[in-house]
Amino acid sequence: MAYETATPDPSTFNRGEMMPSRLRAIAFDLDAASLSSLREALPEWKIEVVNGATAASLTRDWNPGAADLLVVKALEDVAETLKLCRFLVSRGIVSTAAGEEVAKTQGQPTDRQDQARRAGAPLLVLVPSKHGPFVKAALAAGADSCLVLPAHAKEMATMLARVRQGNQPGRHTLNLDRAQSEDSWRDDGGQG
Amino acid sequence: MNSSIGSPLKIEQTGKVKIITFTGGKARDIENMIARELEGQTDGLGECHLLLDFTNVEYLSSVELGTLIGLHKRMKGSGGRLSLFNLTAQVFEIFAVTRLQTLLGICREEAAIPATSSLN
Repeated sequence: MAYETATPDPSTFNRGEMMPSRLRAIAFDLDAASLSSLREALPEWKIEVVNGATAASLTRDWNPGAADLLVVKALEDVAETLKLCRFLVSRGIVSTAAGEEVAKTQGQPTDRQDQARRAGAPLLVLVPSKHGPFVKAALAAGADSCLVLPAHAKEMATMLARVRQGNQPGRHTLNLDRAQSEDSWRDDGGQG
Repeated sequence: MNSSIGSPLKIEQTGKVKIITFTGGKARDIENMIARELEGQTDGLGECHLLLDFTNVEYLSSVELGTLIGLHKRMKGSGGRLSLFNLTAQVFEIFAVTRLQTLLGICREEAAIPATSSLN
């Protein structure tokens, strides 16, 4: 397993607080084009690349720390990729931004997967085109979203923005019920 | 949405993940097939991750888009999540032109057309 920039950069920590100030993504087995797109989509982020990792190899010695995005490129061995997805979700990798919030909840009886989901660290899986069954399996394994290869920077940025917002309604849908009830142009049917 | 007549609605549930595959076939006289097929299937899902498989869906009406937005809102309100997947390019385009892909979790079936590598 190859791990680039595995050592935390001291410059990314605030003095005193020792909390990461720079958002961090961990990318598994990304090809050059996908990695380039990811870097374009997340120009200010620290992106760490892990190659050749499996769920089995990571369980033994992997300590990822906090991360704000996990990106996994599907391998030919689909089952292994799904195992990795399940492992990453079950590992409960928390967002650097949410670390403090999660720390407050520690000690309370919470489901680890739910805790990770609330805290961030969305999991994005990159899949080859026309791999519908795999997309379904990856989402069922806990992936937040799947992008079809080649994944473009804009798609990645859009996906990440949506997931990090926690799927919150936008300004057009924030008060959807009220808007619909007050819509004087609403067609109630009948002949015109 | 083209629907019914074909295979019945497929529903799978494992833990907190529920997968609904819409049916195939044609029944164009029904205005909101999405709502009809989801009827009774999305109540009390709580923090469930609901996955909607659009493999058999060839088009969507605006009414059906409204149904999906409402479902998204309900899922979010209950602490759950909604993801749409296996969308054809044609169906994805409907979400793209309405910019609903920025609101809903959507995984398409085919790669995007590389119109530009820029973010803007």
